[in-house]
Order: sequence, then C-alpha cells, then structure tokens
Amino acid sequence: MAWVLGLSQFASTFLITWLYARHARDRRDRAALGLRWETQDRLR
Amino acid sequence: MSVDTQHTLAVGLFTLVVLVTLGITFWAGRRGSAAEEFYTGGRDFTPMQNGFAISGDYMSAASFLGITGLIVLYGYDGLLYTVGFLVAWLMVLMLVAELVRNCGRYTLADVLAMRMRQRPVRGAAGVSSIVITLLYLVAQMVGAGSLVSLLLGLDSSWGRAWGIVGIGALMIVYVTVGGMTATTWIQIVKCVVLMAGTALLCVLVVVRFHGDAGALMRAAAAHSGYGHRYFLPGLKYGGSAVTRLDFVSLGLALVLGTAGLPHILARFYTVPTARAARRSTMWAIGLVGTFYLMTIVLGLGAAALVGTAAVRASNDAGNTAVPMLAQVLGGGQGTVGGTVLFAVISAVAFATILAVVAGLTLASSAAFAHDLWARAFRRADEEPPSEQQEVVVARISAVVIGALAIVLSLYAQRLNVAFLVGIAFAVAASANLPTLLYNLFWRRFTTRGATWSIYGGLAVSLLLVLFSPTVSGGPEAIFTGVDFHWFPLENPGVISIPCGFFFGWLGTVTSDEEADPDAYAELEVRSLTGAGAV
Repeated sequence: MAWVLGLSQFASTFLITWLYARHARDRRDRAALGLRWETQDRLR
Repeated sequence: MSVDTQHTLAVGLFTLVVLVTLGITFWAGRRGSAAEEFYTGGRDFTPMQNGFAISGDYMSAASFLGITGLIVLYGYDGLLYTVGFLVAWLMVLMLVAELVRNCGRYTLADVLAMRMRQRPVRGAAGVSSIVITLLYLVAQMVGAGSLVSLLLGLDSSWGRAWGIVGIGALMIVYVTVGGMTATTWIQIVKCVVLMAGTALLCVLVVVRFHGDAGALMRAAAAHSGYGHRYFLPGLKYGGSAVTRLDFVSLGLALVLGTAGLPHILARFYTVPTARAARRSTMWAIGLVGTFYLMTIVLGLGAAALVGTAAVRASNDAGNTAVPMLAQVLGGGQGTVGGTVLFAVISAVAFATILAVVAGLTLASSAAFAHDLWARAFRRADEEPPSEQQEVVVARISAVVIGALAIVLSLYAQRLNVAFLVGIAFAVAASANLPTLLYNLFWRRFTTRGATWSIYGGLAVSLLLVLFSPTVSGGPEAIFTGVDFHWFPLENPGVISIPCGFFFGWLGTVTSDEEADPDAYAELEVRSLTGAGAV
C-alpha cells in the first residue's frame, strides 16, 4: 500500500507537469506576448 | 579475469572519460571569452539540450550510488528520497524557472537587484550561494574520493586523497578554460551516458526476473533480511518521534531546496526565452523521473541479487550497491561479462561526478566575480569594472574555490555523502528560496527583508547543524570524544526554513524605507512577459 502511494507520486508529478504546460501554452503565452506588446514594444 | 585486469580496464575507461571531457573543454574554450559566453554559453542552447544538461547537473553520484544503496538497505525509506528529489521539480517548474529566466542575467542576485539596493542584496546572495555550492562540492568530492579509490583499487587514505585532488584539478580546468559552454556539453554527455548505463542495468534486472515484478519484489524482500517489513515505512526513520520528525525535515529540505540551488538556477540563463526555460524544465522532469524509476528497479535488483547483508558489508552507507549489482548481472566476479560491466558502470559514476562538480564550481565563481567582487565590494558611486575584468576574476576565483573545496574535502573525508547533500539542500531552502519567492510575489518586500531573510536562514541552518548529533555526540559524528549537541535532528530544515521566511517578513515590517512600487511593477511585467529581458 505504501509503495502504491509512493509510486503514484511519480505519476502525479508527470501529470501535473503536463497539465501546467498545457495551461501555460494555451492560456498564458499569448496573453504575455500581448501584454509585452502593449507595455513595451509599442513605445519604441 | 582477475581483480587486476578489472582495475586496468576501469583505469582505461576513466582515462577515456577524462580525454573526452578535456576535448570538449578545449573545443569550447576557443569560442571566445565574453562574459555572456563564460556565464551562459551564449544563451543559445535548445530546451532539449538544456533539459539534458539540467538533469546532468542534478543527478549526482549521491543519486546514482547513494539512493540505490539506501533502497537496498532500507526499502521504502530509500524510495522516499527519489520521490522528494523528483517532486521538488514542480516547485522549480511553476514558481521559479520562467520568472528567474526573465528577470536575471547570470546569478540569483540579479533577480533581487532588480528592485532592491544592489550592494547589500548582492553581498548576501553572493555569500549564501558560495556557502551552498561549497557544501555541495565537498559532498560530491568526498564521495568521489572514496569511489575512485574503491573502483581503482587504491583503498587507502592516500588513494582517496589523490582521487579528490585529481577530480578537483579536472573541474578547475573545465571551468576556467571552457566556462558554461564546456560545462553544459559535459553535462549533456554525462546525462546520456548515465541514462544509458542505468537503462542497461535495469533491462538486465528485468530480464533476469523474466519481466515479473512480483518475483523481483519477493526476492528483494527475502534477501533483504527484513522479509515483509522491507516494503513498510520506517526501517531507517521509524525508530522514534524524533527520527520521524527528522525524516519530515529532510523531505522538506529536498522538496524546497532544489528551487534555491545556485547551479540549477544558473542553468535557466543558458536558453533564450522563458518558454524555453519551461520546456527545458519539462525535459528535466521527464529525464529525472525516468532515472529515479530505474534506480528503484536497480535498488530492488541489488537487494534481490546481491543481498542487503553483502552490500552493507562492502560499504556501510550502501554506496557500492550499483557496481556490485553490475558485477553480478555480468556473470559474477572473475567472469569477462562481470568485469566489463563493473568497469563500465564505474566509469559512468566517474563521469557523473565530474559533470556535477563542474557546474557547482562555475556557479560559485559567478557568485563571487559577478555579485561580490564586481558590485558588492564597491562604493555606490564607484564604476563597476569592465566585463573582461570580471571574467578574468571569475576564472581566478574558480581556481581558488576549487582549491578550497579540495582542502575542505580532504578534512571532511569521514562525513556521510547523503548527509552533506541534505545539509546543502536545507541551507538553500532556508537562505535562498524565501528571498526569491518574496521578491517575485510580495509587493512590500524591502532590501532589509531580503538581507535578513538570507543571513537569518543561513545562520540558523548552519548553527543547528553545528549543534546537531552529526557534528558531535552522534554515532558517526565529525568530532569524537566531545559532545556539545543540543539540537536532536540531523537535518535542520523543519526549523530553519520557516525561520528564513520569518526573518524576511520581520525585516520587511521593521524597515524604515518603503518598497519601491515602480520597481515592483517593472519586475512583475518583466517576469511575466519577458519584456526587457536579456
């Protein structure tokens, strides 16, 4: 039982990494680029 | 084949590792010596290359040999080390990697200096980074010394000393000649070699048990001498409430320390963007996770095929379990297969150590030259030196720090490697992580908060170690014959990490000056969008 919990930590780490990366790719990267354009690059 | 042939073969493979790494170093050294090149390798590594290099930087000999040994000796308690070392990467991925890449240039202090007064925060972060890397360096080199002497058959105090001096000299050459470019490529090559060697042993273990995990686990339990208890928690840390708390303390240090290690943070500056930093962290998580899963198989395989008693007889800490397993899997002592596999795995362990110490020396020399010498040691109205001068000082300080690490390691040979690594992680988690997180996420954080947090976390963790049973009074203490310990735990993390956060808060609320809201706004935009990042 303890080993199942221990090994599931590996699985959950991989899962969280994947979810985070997907979220960052879909929701954040574009918004960050847009904000960067608004705040900095347009002032040049 | 006799023991002599085995050692001759190992010497030959070690020489090959040295020649290949020196070749990389001199090739990289011809690429020029600008500061950007020396500290970051020109920032043009791909996420995949950097992910391999991060893994090569992180998976030390303590992981490959030490953790496998701990699984052989203590079963489940050993497994939890692998869990701690892997889960730590989620902290790095989500809170640190991208933001640090956007805010800094070469070191951790760059991130703090964006919104704080330069001299005090660079002084504090520079000092703590050097202390952490030195502790980690001594851990690696003490392990390296005993490993090299064992593998080459020089099992005497002279053999160990020569092993330490030789590895120290090599790491100084790598860093002074090749800088970050050489260090990165050495780490990439090492990562590939280490993964291949571990996978080979892993496949051989699985084939030996015909792919039956149940048979492997039953055999491991039977030959561990613990029976069913081998799979239950508590073989190493279950003795009393104090040892259980010690385990919590160690786990906390492992999970929170990784995000504060200077040589890991420096790796994120070698890629061009925050997105590349994120993707290199994902590569690292994949590689590190796969590696630790394989070490679990190796640990069970060594318990089943070599036996826990035999491993303990060879080395109290279990550090020789992997080479012993390689010998058995190759056909046993005296056979051609056993000899070759033993020598190959020894060379893999040797390459592992070289790559890690090179990364540590580089991070340490950057902290000294870039933070302390070029900025913190100067008056506010003084011009900082040119980048050429800074790189010259960085190369010199790599030699000095390397020499210092060699001398310290010669005196620290009695210390347990895993213990020293645990201390380095605890100091990183207590001194660097609180400041870094406050700086990135707390609007009101001030310069005084930053310096108090770093010096407070550093002082508390080091003092608790000084008065712990590992320094005096314990069974494996550094000083025998005297007993001045009053702190019961071996790892200070559970006390010192909250102390680091507390001092950061206290310094901030007692500050005379207010935090600069404009500087924080600029840091927030830059950390999230990368606008203005180098």
